[in-house]
Amino acid sequence: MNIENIQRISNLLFIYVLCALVAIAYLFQYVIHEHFCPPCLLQRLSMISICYCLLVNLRYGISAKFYGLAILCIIEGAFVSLWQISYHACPQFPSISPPLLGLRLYSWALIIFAACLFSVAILLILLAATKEKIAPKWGMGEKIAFTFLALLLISHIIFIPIQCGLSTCAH
Amino acid sequence: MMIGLFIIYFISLFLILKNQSLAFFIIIINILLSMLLFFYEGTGTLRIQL
Repeated sequence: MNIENIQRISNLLFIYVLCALVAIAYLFQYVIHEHFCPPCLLQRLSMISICYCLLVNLRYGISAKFYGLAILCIIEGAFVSLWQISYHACPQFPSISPPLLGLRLYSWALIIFAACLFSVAILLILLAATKEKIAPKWGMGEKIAFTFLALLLISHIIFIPIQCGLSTCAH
Repeated sequence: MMIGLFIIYFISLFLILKNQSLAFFIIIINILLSMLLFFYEGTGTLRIQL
């Protein structure tokens, strides 16, 4: 397997993993009745934005420009989760949501964003090692990732008004 | 508010596949909108509670 294929498969796997994590957080919210909060949704949107950058990379050929954008999305998501961690660190605002494997979801989100930053750095190093331009490809794997993202967004669009209506969501 | 952002993201998913420059522009707009909503909704809630 050459370095171009490794890049493509890594991008695709990255999208699948992030989609799976958003889906797990979504299920966690309904199955274990996680407390609904707007910053959690913003963290999920940041993960979806990272997927967008990687999907565009697969669609038009891998470029450093979209890895840079992915880093911006990671910084945004990490900022929101860090804000939420510091918010709940205050004794006046204790978190009432149940922990998952010892940590709350927003703490997991920060760990995920740190892991994403590490992965994008590795992908950028791999890109720098690639001599030829990587050709765009839109195969079955990319179409499945696109469908997965669309389904995640549709499910959120359907269930957010049920939980908090059309106005500002209560934290 | 949040529902609006999710709808914008859903429309963006189809638009990013049209053109590379458009995709770049749309992703930046999405990031800015998310940050704007965070400052409006997230910190707004904190101010009310304080």
